[in-house]
Amino acid sequence: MKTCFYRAEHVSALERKKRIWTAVFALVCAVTAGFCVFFILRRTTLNAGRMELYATAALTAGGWVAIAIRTCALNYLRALCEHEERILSSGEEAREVRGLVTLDKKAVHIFRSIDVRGVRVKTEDGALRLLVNAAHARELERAAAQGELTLRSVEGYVTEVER
Amino acid sequence: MRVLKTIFSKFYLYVLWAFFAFLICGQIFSRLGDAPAAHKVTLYADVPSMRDAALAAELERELPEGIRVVKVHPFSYAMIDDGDLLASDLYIIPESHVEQYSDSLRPIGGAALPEEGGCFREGELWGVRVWDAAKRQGIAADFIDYPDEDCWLFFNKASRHIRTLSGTGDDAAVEIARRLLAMTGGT
Repeated sequence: MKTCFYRAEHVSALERKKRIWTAVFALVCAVTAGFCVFFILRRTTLNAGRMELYATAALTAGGWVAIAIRTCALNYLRALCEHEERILSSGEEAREVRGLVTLDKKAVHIFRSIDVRGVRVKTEDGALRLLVNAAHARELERAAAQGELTLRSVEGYVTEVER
Repeated sequence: MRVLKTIFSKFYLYVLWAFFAFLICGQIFSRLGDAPAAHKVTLYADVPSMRDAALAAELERELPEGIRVVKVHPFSYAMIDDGDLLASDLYIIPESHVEQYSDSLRPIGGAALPEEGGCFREGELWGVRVWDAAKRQGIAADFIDYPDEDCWLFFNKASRHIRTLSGTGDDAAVEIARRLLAMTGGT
């Protein structure tokens, strides 16, 4: 059984997700701005302190949500799309190796890119180090538990798994 | 898990944003509630406490022409920087502190304000009594927590809103003073 980790349809799905999160981000910014404007317009001499508090709270909370969406979703989706497009459009010939596969326990974040886990393939000729997208690590681990695997890799990243 | 890790790794962004939001809103609301001196009448009161926002809102019900805002503050508001205090148009000062601020004040004889119980210097009316400590009666007592001594309303000699007295500017401070004096309050 063959599992392919990099597919053009997946990139399309990621792009769609990115568009949705971008829309959510814009909505959060707009709602936050709207609330601030509302409190500013409702300001009178008597309630100025209270309106300022509400506006500050709204701006703070809205900003935090926007930052979370930007850093946790949008930036990561962009990095993931770029990574997958790079692997799919790479001209490099896929390298094939068969052996016993073990994965590093912890994922590592590549700066301005994706989370990856180290993969060690023990072959007859020795050991080989590869990387796998952390999103696919669990699937690879499950497959590796069942014995030897054939891995295909491009630019050092595991792209296909075959039992 | 990744989300939590990302949030914690960017924790400084959240702190910076909260600071920025506080600063921005403070600036916006400060500017909204203020106006240039030419369009503003300011009253500072040397009293233990007061409902300054409520009193300002009351005085703003009918604004003199050209005036956008009436600012009311206790003296403690100008603790760090007394620039605003010295630029105020009107003062409410208790008897024991009048001498301390006398350099900023001026006679108000020409403004046709009540003279009974007033503060006189060299035969001229300088201040209108706003709080009679003996009778525990005065103006705007619902808004001002007066001390246990007589208090008077004075005009800043540098105010640009006392045309009746200075001959220049407008009479906005005099109008506001009259409105304030009309706000009688009990004990």
